Amino acid sequence: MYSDYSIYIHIPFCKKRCSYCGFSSCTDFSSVSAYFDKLFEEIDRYADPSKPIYTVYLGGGTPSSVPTHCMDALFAKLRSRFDMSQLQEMTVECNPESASAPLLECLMRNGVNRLSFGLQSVNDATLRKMGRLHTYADFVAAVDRAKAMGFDNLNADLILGIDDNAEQFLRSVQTATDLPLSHISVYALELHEGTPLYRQLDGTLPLSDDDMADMYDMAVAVLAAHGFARYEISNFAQTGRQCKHNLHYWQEGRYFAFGASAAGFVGDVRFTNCWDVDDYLRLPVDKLRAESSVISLSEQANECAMLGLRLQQGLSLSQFALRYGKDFFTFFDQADRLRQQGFLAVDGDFVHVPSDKFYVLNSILTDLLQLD
Amino acid sequence: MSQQNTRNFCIIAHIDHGKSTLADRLMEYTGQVAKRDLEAQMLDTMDIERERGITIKLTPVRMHYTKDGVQYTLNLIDTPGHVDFNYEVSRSLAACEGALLVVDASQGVEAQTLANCYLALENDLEIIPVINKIDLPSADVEGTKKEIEDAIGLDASAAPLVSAKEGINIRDVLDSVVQLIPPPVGDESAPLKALIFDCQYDNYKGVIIFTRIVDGTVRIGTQIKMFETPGKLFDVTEVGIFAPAMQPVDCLQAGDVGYICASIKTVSDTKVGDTITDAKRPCAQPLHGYKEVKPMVFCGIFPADGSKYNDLKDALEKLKLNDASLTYEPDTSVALGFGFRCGFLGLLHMEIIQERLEREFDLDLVTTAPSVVYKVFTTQGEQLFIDNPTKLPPPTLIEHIEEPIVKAEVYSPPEYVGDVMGLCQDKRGTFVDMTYLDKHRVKLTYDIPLNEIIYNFFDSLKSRTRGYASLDYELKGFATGKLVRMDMLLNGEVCDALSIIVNEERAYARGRQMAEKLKDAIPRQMFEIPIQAAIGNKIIARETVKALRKDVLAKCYGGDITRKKKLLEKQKEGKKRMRQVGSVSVPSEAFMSILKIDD
Repeated sequence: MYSDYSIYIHIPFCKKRCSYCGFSSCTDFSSVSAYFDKLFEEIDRYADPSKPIYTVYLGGGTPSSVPTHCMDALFAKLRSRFDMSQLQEMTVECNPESASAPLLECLMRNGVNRLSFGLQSVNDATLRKMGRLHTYADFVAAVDRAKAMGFDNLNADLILGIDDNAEQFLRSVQTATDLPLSHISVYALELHEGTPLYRQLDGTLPLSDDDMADMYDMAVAVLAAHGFARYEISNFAQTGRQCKHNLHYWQEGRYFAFGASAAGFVGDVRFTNCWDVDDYLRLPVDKLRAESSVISLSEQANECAMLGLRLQQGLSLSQFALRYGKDFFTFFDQADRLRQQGFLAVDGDFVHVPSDKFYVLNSILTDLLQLD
Repeated sequence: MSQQNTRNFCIIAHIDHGKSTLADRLMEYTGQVAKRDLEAQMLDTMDIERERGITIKLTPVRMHYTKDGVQYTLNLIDTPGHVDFNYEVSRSLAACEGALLVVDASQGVEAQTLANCYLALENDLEIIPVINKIDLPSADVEGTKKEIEDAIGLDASAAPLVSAKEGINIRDVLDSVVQLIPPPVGDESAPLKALIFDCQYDNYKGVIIFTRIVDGTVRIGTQIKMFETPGKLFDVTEVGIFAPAMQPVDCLQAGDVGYICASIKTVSDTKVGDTITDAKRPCAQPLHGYKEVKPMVFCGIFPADGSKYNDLKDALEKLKLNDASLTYEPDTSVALGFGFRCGFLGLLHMEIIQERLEREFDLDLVTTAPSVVYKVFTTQGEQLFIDNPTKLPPPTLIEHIEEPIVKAEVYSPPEYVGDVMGLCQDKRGTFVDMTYLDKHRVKLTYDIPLNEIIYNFFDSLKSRTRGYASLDYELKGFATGKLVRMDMLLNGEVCDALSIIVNEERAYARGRQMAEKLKDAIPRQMFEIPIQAAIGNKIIARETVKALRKDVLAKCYGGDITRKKKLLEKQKEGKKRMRQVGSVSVPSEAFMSILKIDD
C-alpha cells in the first residue's frame, strides 16, 4: 500500500464563495474549459502509467459544479494516462445544490464510488450566514438521490464552531448520524485572513478554545454511540469505511496532484502548485510548481510521525523501523520522555497519542519532531 | 570679554511649560541659530528627550546680545527636568548667577517648578519670573503672577509676558537677563577653580568636561587635577565654548562657561560637582556642594535573545561612557540566562536607559522588577547591601533588614488631598507635614519607603489626582522594615527572575496580583501549570494555567503536508523564543507583565 500512488485533483470552481473559505477557489465559470485544458496538459506532462493508482480524490472548490462533459473528459484522461486497474476508492466532493441526477450519473459511470458532501450544519440560518447556497432539505434530497443512484459510501463534512451555540452544533452531529452516511468529518472553524468571515468577526473566533474542545468531546461521544468511530482527529467512520485516500496521506503515501494549489508527493519530492487560478492558467506547464523540495529520509520519518500520530491507532513501529532504518524511540530523542509523561503510549506494534492527550497533539509534535 | 559683560543663567520650568521653546527663541533672537535651521527644540538633542519633552543631558549655549551699545555674553545652561536628576540640576544651578523661572500662564506654578526654584534660591541665584503661553485663550496672567508671589514669594509685577511659541516679547526676557542678573565676580588671577557641571564622551577627544570657571584661567597645556579623583593629573588639550556647537578658544577665564578636553578616558574621572584646579598651583578649597551620586534603583536587564549577551554588554559600555551614574555588573538567572544587574538614579533614569538600549542599540530586553538597596544585618554580625532579591541570605541568617526611606513631597490641588493621603498611607508612608501654599495648592510631606515609590507610586498618584499632583523626593535614610523575599513558583519550581523583596504585609496582595498576571501571560501548555507565590515554604497565593485543549482540531489541508509542517515549525520557533523554567515555557512578556500592576 505504501508503494502505491494516489491522485489528488483540485477543481477550484464555486458558484459562490463561502464566507469562511480559505481555499483556492474561483467563481468565474467562463474559464472552466481553459482550466480543464490546462489540467489535461499538466496530467500529460507528469503522468506515469507505470504506477498503479490506489485512490483518486477530486476536491475543491466544488467539483460537482462543473459541467458533466468536463468530468467525463477528465476521467477519460486519467484512464488513458494512468494504470487504474488497482483502483480502490474514488471520491468526489459535492455540494448538495449541485449534485444533480445527471451529475451523479456521470460520476457513477466513471467509477466514482465515494461522495463527500459539504453539509457544514443542519441549521438553515447558519448555512445562510456562512454564504452556503443550500438548505438542510437540499442536502437530504441530494443524499437520497445519491443512494438511489447506488452510491453507498457517503461522507458529510461538519464545521465545529460556526453555529451560534453548542446545542445547534450537536443537533447537526445528531441529525447527521441518523442519515444514510458511512463517514462524518468534523473540522473546527478556522479564520483565514482576507475572508469575509474574518472581517466580520474581527479575526476572533466566537467560541473559546475550551468551548470548542467541550463541543468536540460531545461530538466524539455522540458519533461513537451511533457507530461512527474516530480513526483520525477530525474523521469518523463506520467499520471498514475509513477514507482510504486520507489514510494514504497520514501514512506518508505518495500521490500525484494536479490543478491550482494542489500539493503532491512524488518520489521524494513534495511540491505545491501555484495558488491562483489565473496564474495556473497563465504559466507554462513546466512552471506550475510554486514550491518543490526533496524530502530526505529523516524528514520523511518526521512527517511519518507528524501524520501518523493524527490517527487513533497511531503508527506502526515495525513499519517505521523498516522504512527509516531506525527504531522510533531511538530516532526521536524526546519520545521516551513523552511516553513517560503519558503523551505517547505503545500498544502492540503501534505508538499512539492517548485519547485524552489528542488535544495537544501539536504541542506533543513540537516537542517530538526534529524540525530544524 | 570682561566678566562685567557676562551673564550666566539657566531656565527653570515644569515639564511642558515651554523651557526648551523659550531657549530656542533666545538663540534665534540673538542670531545663534537661523530660524530655518532650528529643528524644534534645539537643546534637547536626544530623541527620547524630544519625544518626552524633557531634558536629560545638559547642553549649554553661548549667545551675544547688545543693549544700549554694550555687547553682552550670555551663557544659557539647560537643566534636566526630573526628580531623578535633582543633583545634576543643583550643580548646573551652581554654575549660574541667575535663573529664568518659566511659568505657563494657563497652568500656574507646579511642583517641579517649586522644587527647582527652591534649589535656585539655595544657590543664591537671582530669579526672574517669566510668564509664558500668554497667547493661549486659557492664559490667566494676573492669576499666575499672584500665584508666583504667593507660592514662591517673588515679585512678579515686572515679569516678562511672553509666548515662546509665537515669539512674542522675547526681547524683554533678554533685557531682564542683562539688567537683573549680576555678573560673575571671580578672580582671574587666583588659582584655577572650576566646577564640573556635566560631561560627555567623545571618541576622539575623550571626556569633554562642561565647566564653569569660578576663579583663574585654563588654557591648552594647563595641567589639571580634580579633588575627588586624587593622584590623577591631566594635560588640557583643548578649551572652548558652546556656540552652540563646540568652538575652541585660547583660554577660559573666571566667569566663563565652556568645555575642557584633557585626554580623559572615562567619565568616572570627571564627577559632576567636582572642582577642577591647576595641578601646579592648586586652589586651597574645592567648591561646596559635591555629592557622590549613588544608584537608588536596580533591576536585572537580560537580552530577550540569549545570543545577544555581548551586544548588550557593548551597549551598556557605550552608555556608561556618557553616564557615570549608570552602574552594571554581570548577573545570571536560571530563567533568563546571562545578563546584567544595573543601577539607576531613579525610575525615569531606568526607563531611559532601557529605552535607549532598545532603540539606539536595537536590542530586545527582558527586565526584572526594580529593587532598591537593602541593608541586611546578619546573625553573624555582618552588614550586607543587597539590591538583588536572589542574593538575600536565608531568613535564618538574617537578624534584621533596613530599607531606604525617602522624604516625599507631593504637590496637589486641595480637592485631592484625601486621595493623596490615602495613597501615601497605602504605601506605608508616615505623615510629616501639610502646608497650604495658596488656595490652589497643598504640599504634603511624607516619609515613604523607597520600594513603595518605585512600585507604581507615580502612576497611582497621577490616576488618583487626574494628573494634577506631582511628586518630588530625596533619600532620607534607612529604617527597619518587616521585609521578606517572595518567590514565584511555576509548576513547583522557583523562577528566580520573578523573586522580589517585599514588606511582609504587602506580600499577600502582591503575590496574588503577580500570580494573576502570570496566569494571563503564560500560554496554556500540554499540562496544567500551578502558579504559586511563596514566602519560604509557605504558599500565599495560587493560580492555575489550565492545560491546552484545542491545538489540533483544525483541518489538515488535503495533502498539503508542507503547510502543516510550516505551522509546526512556527510553533516550535515560538516555543524556542520562550524561557524555560523547569518544564514550563514562559514568554518574555510574562516577565514584563508583572511590572505593570495597577492598584
